[in-house]
Amino acid sequence: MSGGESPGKEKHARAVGARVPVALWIPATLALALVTLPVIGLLLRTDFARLPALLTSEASLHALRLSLLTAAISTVLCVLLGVPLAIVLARSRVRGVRVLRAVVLLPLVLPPVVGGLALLYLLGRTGFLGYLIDVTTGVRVPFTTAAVVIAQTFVAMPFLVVSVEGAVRAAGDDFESVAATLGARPWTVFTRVTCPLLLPALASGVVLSFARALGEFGATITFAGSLQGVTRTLPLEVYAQAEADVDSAVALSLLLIVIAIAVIVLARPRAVEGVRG
Amino acid sequence: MAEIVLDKVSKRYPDGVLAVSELDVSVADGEFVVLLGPPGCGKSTVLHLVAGLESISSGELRIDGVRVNEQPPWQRDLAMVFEGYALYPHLSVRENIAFPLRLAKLPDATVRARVGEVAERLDLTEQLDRRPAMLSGGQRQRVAIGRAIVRNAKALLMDEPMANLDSKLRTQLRSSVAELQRDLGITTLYVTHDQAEAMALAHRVVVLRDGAVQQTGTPRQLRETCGE
Ligand SMILES: Nc1ncnc2c1ncn2[C@@H]1O[C@H](COP(=O)(O)OP(=O)(O)O)[C@@H](O)[C@H]1O
Ligand SMILES: [Mg+2]
Repeated sequence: MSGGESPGKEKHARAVGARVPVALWIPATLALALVTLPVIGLLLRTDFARLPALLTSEASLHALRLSLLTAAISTVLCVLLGVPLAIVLARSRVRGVRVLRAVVLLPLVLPPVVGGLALLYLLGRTGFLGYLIDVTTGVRVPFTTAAVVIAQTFVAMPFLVVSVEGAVRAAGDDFESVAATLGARPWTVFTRVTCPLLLPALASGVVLSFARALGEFGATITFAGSLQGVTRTLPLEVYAQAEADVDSAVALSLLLIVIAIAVIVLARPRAVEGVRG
Repeated sequence: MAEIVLDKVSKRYPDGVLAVSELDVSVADGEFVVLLGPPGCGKSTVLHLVAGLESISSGELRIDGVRVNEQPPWQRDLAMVFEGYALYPHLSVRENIAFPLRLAKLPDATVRARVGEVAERLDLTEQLDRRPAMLSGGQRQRVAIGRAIVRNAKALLMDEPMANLDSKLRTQLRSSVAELQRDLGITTLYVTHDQAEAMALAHRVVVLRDGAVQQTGTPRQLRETCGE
């Protein structure tokens, strides 16, 4: 920022400029407390002696397995569909792409319950697509494991798209142009240049969308219901146990928190680094 | 090697900007032609048209007498050095330079030999195993040039390759670029907005203004007409 000065002077200037006004400390502390205290509260409430038993109960294991399975499938779907979408959004010169971009971000800001309801009226028996599928194949999507995956993909997709689209934009198209002039056909350019360049952003997008899928609740319960072993994922299990067996709900919550922290540790550095891997 | 002819070439971008208008430029086999003009006059666009990265709106582009308007960039066998160099950050210097040879699926031994030669010529041997992020500006430029010349393409297109270097280095590098072009005898179309650079490098300078040729001649002819 302040170039051309002697190193000592610069250091001094930075120290003064970087001093945080005292007035900021109070709301900053409050914000930190708001984030950390509930977690501590949960920890205090945890029955650590019974933790292993609670986490390995039949219901917990069902929920855990279902959650990992559906979140993994959703993440794969997010990658397969989201990467091409991100590239199209970043590169296409077609008019109206900007509107499309806003639409893609919708699940990010929409209350998940509303998303679930929308999915239900699209794919439910009375929804036009659901009716069509029911009549032609006899398959009913809502309240199945497939519905869980669809709900998770719906809410998680924007995380992947935003992450990858940003990287495509930041990289510009010179990397690809160079490859073309050096003799690479479009598909070769995609596999040898575009994909490796996007890898860091893709990795952080994958971790974020997996986390979002794993934590999905609102859209799932509306669109897929809460059937043990079929659609009752971890968050839904926590909700179901909150009244029946609080200790079990707390134990599962702890598990979700541990996963969330792992996600932050995994995704943070990459998200900050961006393309310059 | 090759001869490049732009015959009344125009380029109108989809948004309506007429970036190049009825341009006549020819680069003879082995010649070093510099396109000189202020920023925004259409220099980069001309190189993109020649390379096939943008489509030609009207006129004809011929390489060795053959119309190539419709030929995709990967078939034109030209080599282009971009202003920002666009070195691949995920590849070492060695693999950056080897990139076009890998695309051509040449055997490993050939690739190693060719990359070694080019690195030696450009004084990059010590840097071969580094990533581009660890190089200085001048070294990056040399890697970009190395990647372009490694496969003996028909012609070399360079878009302001000195623009990202400090002025002292820029002056020093002029002679090495000129020398390289002379040694390789490669047909070269070079773009710059720096008049001194154009005069120092070119066999022939084409002065571009608003997408059209304003003047053309050898550096000596231009100096005389300008009355310097
Ligand atoms: N992809 C593009 N789409 C629309 N207009 C462009 C595009 N690229 C360049 N232009 C316009 O064409 C003109 C010439 O640009 P350019 O060839 O980059 O000039 P130079 O390289 O001499 O600075 C400028 O007015 C620029 O805004
Ligand atoms: Mg330019």
